[in-house]
Amino acid sequence: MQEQYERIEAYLDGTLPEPERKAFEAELEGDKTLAAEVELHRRVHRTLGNADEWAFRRNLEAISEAYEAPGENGKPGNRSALRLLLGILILITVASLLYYFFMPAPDAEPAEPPAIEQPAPSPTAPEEVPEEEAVEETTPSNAPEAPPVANTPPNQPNPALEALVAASPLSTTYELAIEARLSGQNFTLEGEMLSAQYEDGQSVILTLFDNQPDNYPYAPLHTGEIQVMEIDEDAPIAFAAKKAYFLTYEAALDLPAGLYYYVIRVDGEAEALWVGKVER
Amino acid sequence: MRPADEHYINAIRNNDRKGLQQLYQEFLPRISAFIRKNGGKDADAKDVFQDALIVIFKKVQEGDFQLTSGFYTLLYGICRNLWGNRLQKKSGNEVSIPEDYKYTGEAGLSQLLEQQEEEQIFWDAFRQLGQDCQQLLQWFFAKVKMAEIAERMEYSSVGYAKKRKFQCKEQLIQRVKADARYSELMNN
Repeated sequence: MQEQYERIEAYLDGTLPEPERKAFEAELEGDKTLAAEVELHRRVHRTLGNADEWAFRRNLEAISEAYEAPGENGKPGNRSALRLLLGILILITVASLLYYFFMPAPDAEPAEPPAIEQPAPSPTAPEEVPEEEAVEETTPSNAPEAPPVANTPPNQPNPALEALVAASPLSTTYELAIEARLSGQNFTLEGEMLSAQYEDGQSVILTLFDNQPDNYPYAPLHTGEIQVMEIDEDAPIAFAAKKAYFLTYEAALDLPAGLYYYVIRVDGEAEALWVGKVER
Repeated sequence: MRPADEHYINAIRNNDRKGLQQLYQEFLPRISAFIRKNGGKDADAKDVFQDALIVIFKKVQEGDFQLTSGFYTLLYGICRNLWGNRLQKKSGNEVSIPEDYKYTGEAGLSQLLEQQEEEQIFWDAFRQLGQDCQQLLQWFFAKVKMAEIAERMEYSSVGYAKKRKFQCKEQLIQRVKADARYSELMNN
């Protein structure tokens, strides 16, 4: 067997002496099993003999091993951290309600429910709270006004939006893969949407925000409708009968240098499908 | 080509560790989200992502590479095709993907994708070998002389190095043959 391997290797290397090579080729003609074996060795040598690919693979494997997805170790976008935070909020609420029902109210005071104590915000909390939760947390009346926030420098990332960028695509029913760029005054966007839910004629809306924390989601800089074209008629079964759509959008926007975020939604739906960022 | 896209292509072309790390940070989360939503796990996403980068690496090595779309469009398209093919194989071909759905943005890419799937069988078998076999065979496939390999591996003789090389390669070949994808490959 070892001899057979060495003969195949010498043949593939072109180092088999002439008479032996001819005899080996004659053997190959009449022996399909041997021919298949030689073909297998040839493919193995061709694949595993590429030194550049070796180096590239080694590099990728090292990077992949060391890679930590955004959201691991408490970085923005960690869904389990969000759940933990939500759990803590629920616990505090339950504890406050228990306090309200079981602690005797002072005699002279009318029985008013004590204000639910808000958890002291941790330095990372604003990054991890989605917009809807953050809105619910604000107390509408008799809450002290937030101290004025100094304007964020135009290139500083907005943590709440960064978390959404890292988590995009955000929807399970409309899967998007989007690329956008801002070149001079031209904002261009292209990408793809896979969905079984999207109905022809539904508007897909783009809203653009700057990086200022107070401006999202209430003060968009620009809003427009994205052009949607179906790519093919036949739904690919491998992707759960989803249809594929090509999305494009172009606009001339006169924006100063800075970091901008765009949010894509289907018109009439609250859920954002994709949040991306562009820089000028 | 946009500067950012050029940066990523150059990172792949030059096997630049820092540029490749940026590429992982920027794009792997999105590819992971796509794979997870289509029946895969994060580990599958890492595999598909790495294989897609190798496909682009090979395409770039061909020398006449022209990016006709955005870099992410290309990367996403390749990942989608690779994952679609794997889903199809996992399901025993019960699942089919129409040809026109497949990403064919760059010339010659579909051929490279097929080649990638084929070569993956060999790489997977290779990774299952012991460390000494992997090291020995890496040098053997790189055409390092057996005498040199014997010395590097601190074997007692060239004869032993040859014997060991045979044993390792035999293990590799048997693992390839035991792979369900192998019979399909040889029938094509």
